[in-house]
Amino acid sequence: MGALNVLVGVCLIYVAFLFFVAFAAERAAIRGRGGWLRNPLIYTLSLSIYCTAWTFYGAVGYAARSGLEYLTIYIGPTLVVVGWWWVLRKLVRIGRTQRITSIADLISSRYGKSNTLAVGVTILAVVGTTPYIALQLQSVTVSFDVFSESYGETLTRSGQDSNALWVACGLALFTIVFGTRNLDANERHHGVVMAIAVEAIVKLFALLAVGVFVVWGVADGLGDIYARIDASEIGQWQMRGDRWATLIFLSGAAFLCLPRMFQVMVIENEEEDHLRTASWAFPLYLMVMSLFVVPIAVVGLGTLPAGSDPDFFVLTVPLAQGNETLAMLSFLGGFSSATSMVIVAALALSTMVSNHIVMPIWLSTQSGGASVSGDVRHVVLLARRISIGGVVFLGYLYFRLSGGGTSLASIGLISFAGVAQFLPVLLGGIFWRGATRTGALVGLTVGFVIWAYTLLLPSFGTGTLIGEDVLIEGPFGWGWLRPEAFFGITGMDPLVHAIFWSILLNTVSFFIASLVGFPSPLERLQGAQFVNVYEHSTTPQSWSGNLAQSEDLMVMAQRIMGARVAQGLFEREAKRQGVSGLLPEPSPDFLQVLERELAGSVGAATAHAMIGQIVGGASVSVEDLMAVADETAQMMEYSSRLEAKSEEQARTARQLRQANEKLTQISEQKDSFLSQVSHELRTPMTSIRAFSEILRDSDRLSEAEKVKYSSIIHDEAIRLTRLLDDLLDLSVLENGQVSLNEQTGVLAEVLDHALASALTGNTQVSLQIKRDKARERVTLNTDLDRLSQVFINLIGNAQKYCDAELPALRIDVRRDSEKLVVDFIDNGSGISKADQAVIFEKFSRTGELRVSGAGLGLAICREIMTRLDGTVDYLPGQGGAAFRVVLPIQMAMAAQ
Amino acid sequence: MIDTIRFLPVIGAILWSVPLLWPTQEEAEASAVKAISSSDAIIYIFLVWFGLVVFGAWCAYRMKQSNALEEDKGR
Amino acid sequence: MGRSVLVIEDEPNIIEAISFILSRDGWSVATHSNGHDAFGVVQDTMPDLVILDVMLPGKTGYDILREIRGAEGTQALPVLMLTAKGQVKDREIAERAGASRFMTKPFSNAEVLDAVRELVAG
Repeated sequence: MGALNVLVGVCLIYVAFLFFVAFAAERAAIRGRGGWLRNPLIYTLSLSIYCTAWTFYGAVGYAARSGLEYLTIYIGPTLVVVGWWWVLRKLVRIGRTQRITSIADLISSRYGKSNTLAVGVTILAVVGTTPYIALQLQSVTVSFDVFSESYGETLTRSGQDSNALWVACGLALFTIVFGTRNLDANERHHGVVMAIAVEAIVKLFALLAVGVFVVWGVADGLGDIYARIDASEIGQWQMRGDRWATLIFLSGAAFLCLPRMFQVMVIENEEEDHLRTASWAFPLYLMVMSLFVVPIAVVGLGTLPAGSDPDFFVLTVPLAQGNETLAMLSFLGGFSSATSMVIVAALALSTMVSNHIVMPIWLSTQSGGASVSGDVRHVVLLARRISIGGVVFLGYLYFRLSGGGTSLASIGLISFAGVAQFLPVLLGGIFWRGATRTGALVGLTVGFVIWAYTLLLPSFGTGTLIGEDVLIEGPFGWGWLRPEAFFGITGMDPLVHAIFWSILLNTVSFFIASLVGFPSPLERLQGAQFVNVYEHSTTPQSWSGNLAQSEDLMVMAQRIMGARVAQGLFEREAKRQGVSGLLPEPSPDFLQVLERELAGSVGAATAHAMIGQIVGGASVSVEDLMAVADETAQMMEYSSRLEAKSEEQARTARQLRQANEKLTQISEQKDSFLSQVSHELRTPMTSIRAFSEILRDSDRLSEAEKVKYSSIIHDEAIRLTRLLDDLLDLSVLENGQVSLNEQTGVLAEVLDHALASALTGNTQVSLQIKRDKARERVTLNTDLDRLSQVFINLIGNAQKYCDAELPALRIDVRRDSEKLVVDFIDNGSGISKADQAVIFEKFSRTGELRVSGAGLGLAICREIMTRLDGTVDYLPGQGGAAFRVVLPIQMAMAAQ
Repeated sequence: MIDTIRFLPVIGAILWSVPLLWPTQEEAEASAVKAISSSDAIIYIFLVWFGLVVFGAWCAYRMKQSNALEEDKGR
Repeated sequence: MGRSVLVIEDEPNIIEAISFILSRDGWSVATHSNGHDAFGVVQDTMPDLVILDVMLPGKTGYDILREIRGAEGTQALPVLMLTAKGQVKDREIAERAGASRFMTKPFSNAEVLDAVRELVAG
């Protein structure tokens, strides 16, 4: 009993150690020091829950019975992980972007968030996993048994049961403590993962130690082992090809579909990049795990008495050799395998059970529905804890009821085949957009019915659940429906037969039902999301949900209407609402406008739904809408390409029309120009003629009157001359006949000169000039006379039109890498918006004050600046009238 | 590089389907061909395995290198 | 028979010239130089004749003429239109709007004087 007590003590210490590891990992993660927790190797090790007690103990037994067949169980996952780029990467990406919580969630989410599917998958997963959990409990108790037997103490059946109960309770407690600390699917269970990683090392180390002991301790090294292998019962290749291929396929499929594998692989994945490391490290792990299986089996077969259970060779070989320490280590390895599997399976199943079964039921009993506040979190956690207890207890119950018989041993592969039924629906969901909910339901149902009929029921033994006559004659005597020989095809291995037909018919019915049916809009949304997950999420960052609704609407609208149109719409609406910036409040008015605009692109119903989803309580997430928006954009692009051809013809017609319009316009412009020139010439001539006739015809004029009238004639004559000069100047500039006289000079001097000419002889208005001469020290290389002409004009305008009491003109000079900017800003009342549009037109004059000048000044300025490769524009919003002259920098060289 | 990673599982699957061609014990006895001994089979399967691990690790390393390179270029 | 004339014109020199010519002939001359309230001034002063320029700041001469013709009291008021735009089209518009006489700038002083006398005598 003493040694047994030591074993119990070691176990307890080991469990305490696991608790400590998990606790420390959680603490580190909370304190943000969990950098080492995000190690890809930890991720790789956590994947090793694939190796359960069934593989730890069972592999040797398997090898002892069936030779190398056990390898298929490891080769399948190896191929899947090595091919991570195909499937795993996509699964992980989808899991992260869609906030998937389990494989049931993934499948239901993909097929239109169908809860029927989720419930179905959950139940099937529980059915498939419960025997497996029972198997783990059994392995722990039996291995304990093996120890006690070796000390001559045979445990009673009730002793075994109580052992199993204790183990089950401990595992449930561990899972509850570390598995349900928080709710968020994006929060990883650092404690659980860390504990699993530690257990992974323990079991690997234990198996290696036993292996090394067997090869170099019991046998005489490698050569001896080879000889022993070839001499043993399993010494020759006896693998049937169909079984080999089928089992590799089956284990690969199960690796993807097992709820616990999905949990560690997808849900607990920290970074997509970890897959890269796992892609080679996990196959390495599996390889090392299976390396010594055959030697142990062969040595066990050779040294132990006939009839001893090969499933526990890992324990019994060291015990028989008297190496108790090694046996204890081996026991811990098996214990680790069993516990880690149960913990993760319970965690994964409880998530599914609570999310898809318990919560919907609870919510439906609550009158408030899902909108009830805060306490839901608490309920979810409670549901999850109860589910964990329930799942583990179910496993225990199965263990008790099945009597721990040998039928458990074969349950591993049957369980694999069960969950493998998820594979067509899973892969179809992530690679084929046409897959529908109906197809998934039909496929899963067909697959599971066939699996149960051909594999599960016969496994309980003939005559228990399925009668012998059915097995031999088929149901109702229909020979073609015999569970182990469909359509009369006999001679197939039962397992291969079951897997072949169930997966085949599953896939075919899934495919056909998908093709016949029609996906709902939500399914189509989710389908696009899943299949095109890489396009839809360049960063695996999911929507944070705290952005303003307007912004969401903006993003969506941009995807549908195009960025410019959407921004224009939003800006207009914001302005209408009097909101500064580009985002309007999501007022009912604005939403109506937006809906109408969107309806133009995607149709009214969709537009309504989309806005409803963003603004109202959404059951479809914003990302989904983005996906539709993307699709719509693509479709619109496609149809626009179809229209391109007819559009081209329309374009030609439009060009012709434009050319015609332009000719008409030019002709009209010429008429109006002539009419304006006529007006501008006739007005001064009227004065000249009238006063010259007065001077000629009246002899009673006073001397003062004569002087006054002759000076009017004189002034008007000068005005005529200037007008003619301007007209000629403009004509020359417009025809491009002007030759520029390039000189080099300093801006300050040009301005000095312009100010001097503009302000001389005009004493009645004193215009105050504000300049910053330091900034004007810019060397120019351009036609300085022309530039000066522009400046004179602008300064003259300020002088003439500035209506401030103390008129002032500020000249601002600024330069950047490309251009020199000179602003002329006065302090008057500025120019009205309507006039701003026309001041650069010929003969336009603003205001009611008639001041001398033909209205050609700014038109000439504009022409000059165009010739100098620059611009002159009205600068709105400066208080007074403001003009901006821009010169390209190559003409304005750097200051010395 | 991506293509190499994509084809790795295919290569593995092909190499591991070679045992399909081996005669089983009964077939071997029936046709008087020498059966493949388990030790040879083990050596073959584990060699393939080892090769996959090494090649996979090499691919993963190369991919990391090229990713780092692209990031460098991006900056 | 009254001898009052209202000159609506925006060029100060032309106003001065017309005022000089008419007042020398014994007319009493009032002037106004923008289009906005020109019609109001016509109604206030009720001259015997209006001399109306076409290009006025604020409102064109044609519009003012239509206002004059449209109102009771001023319907029959003689209006002499002056324009610097000497095109045929302008004359047509003026006649349709109801101008009593249409003259193109530059005009001779005698011409204006004759027209005024004729229209008022009318």
